[in-house]
Amino acid sequence: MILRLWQCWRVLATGFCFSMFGIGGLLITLIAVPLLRLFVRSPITRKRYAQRLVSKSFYAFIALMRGVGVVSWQVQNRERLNQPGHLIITNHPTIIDVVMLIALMPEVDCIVGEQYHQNPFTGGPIRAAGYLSNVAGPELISQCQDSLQQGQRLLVFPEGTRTVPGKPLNLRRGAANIALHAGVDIVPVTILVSESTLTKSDRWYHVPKRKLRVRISVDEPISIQPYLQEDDNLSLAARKLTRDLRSYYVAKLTAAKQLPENDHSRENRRFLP
Amino acid sequence: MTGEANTMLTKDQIQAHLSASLVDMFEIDPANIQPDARLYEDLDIDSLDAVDLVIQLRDFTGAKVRPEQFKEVRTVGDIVNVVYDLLQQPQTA
Repeated sequence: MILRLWQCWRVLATGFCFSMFGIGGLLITLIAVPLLRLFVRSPITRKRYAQRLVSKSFYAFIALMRGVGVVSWQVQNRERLNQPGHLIITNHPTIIDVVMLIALMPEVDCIVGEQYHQNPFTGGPIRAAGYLSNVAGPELISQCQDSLQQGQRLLVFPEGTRTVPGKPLNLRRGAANIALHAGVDIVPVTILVSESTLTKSDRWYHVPKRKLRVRISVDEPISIQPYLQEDDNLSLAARKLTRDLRSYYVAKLTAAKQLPENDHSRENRRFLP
Repeated sequence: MTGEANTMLTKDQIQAHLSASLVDMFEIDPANIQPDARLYEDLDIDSLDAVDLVIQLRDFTGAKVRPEQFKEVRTVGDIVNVVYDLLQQPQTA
């Protein structure tokens, strides 16, 4: 009974958080973006400010979600995210992990699905922050290359979409191609979630039985030099690198599954009769 | 003129060259390269690979091959047909 109440509370709280997210997006579009246009002349500086603003807002959003008991998070080796000019890749089990990663990095470029560029709540901040759209195809690689060579960090989800639970991990070759063309190393991030929620097939109100716990671990950078040296055909190098990245993630995610399941007992005891 | 010489290419020759390129460039298993094999779904050729392939075909045919001409291409057989048709048309400068 109390567990059900707790779940109902989290449905309400999730709805509240997402409404705040939408309102925040509109406020940024209607107030912050025009102010930035007015007072910041240089487009590059403006984009940097916009990215910082998005990052801060996302941090506040996560704080809100933690505050109302919808989610908790744990970050390992966060400092590894701070290196400029690196490609950061990650698996993508839930929609919230993007928000968390951007919250952890004050300035980062990111490839975002075109539908979010068009969305009235997210489009304004996304365009102001100069996030790239995934429709560009081959041109996208050169846009990413430019961003990395200017020393920006770039966040890419190599699956190109959210991870489908229970399906084999399917990495596209875009991320490997970006790293190889730009000549930058890859910082792999592994995200583990305690519950499957907010995947492509979940609606927002399908909250899990228990609070969602997210563990973000930033791993050692992967050097791309061996791939560049081994093969001067970048198409083949990208295939090999993608295969290796896939094995890397499969190993990470399998190892995580074999750990004792996230221990909810202590947390739940408070709510049990 | 290579362009002129290559207008004599038959579909079989184009197919043979294409197969060899796919194997060389992308390590695709020759057994999978069939006329009705779909490029994206069956052969795992993405948009970036397609650009490389078009450049390769331009060098091979000496014809003015542009990526737009491959918009409707879905299968290996489609590529052969597009290249063949291109070579049949008189080259406009």
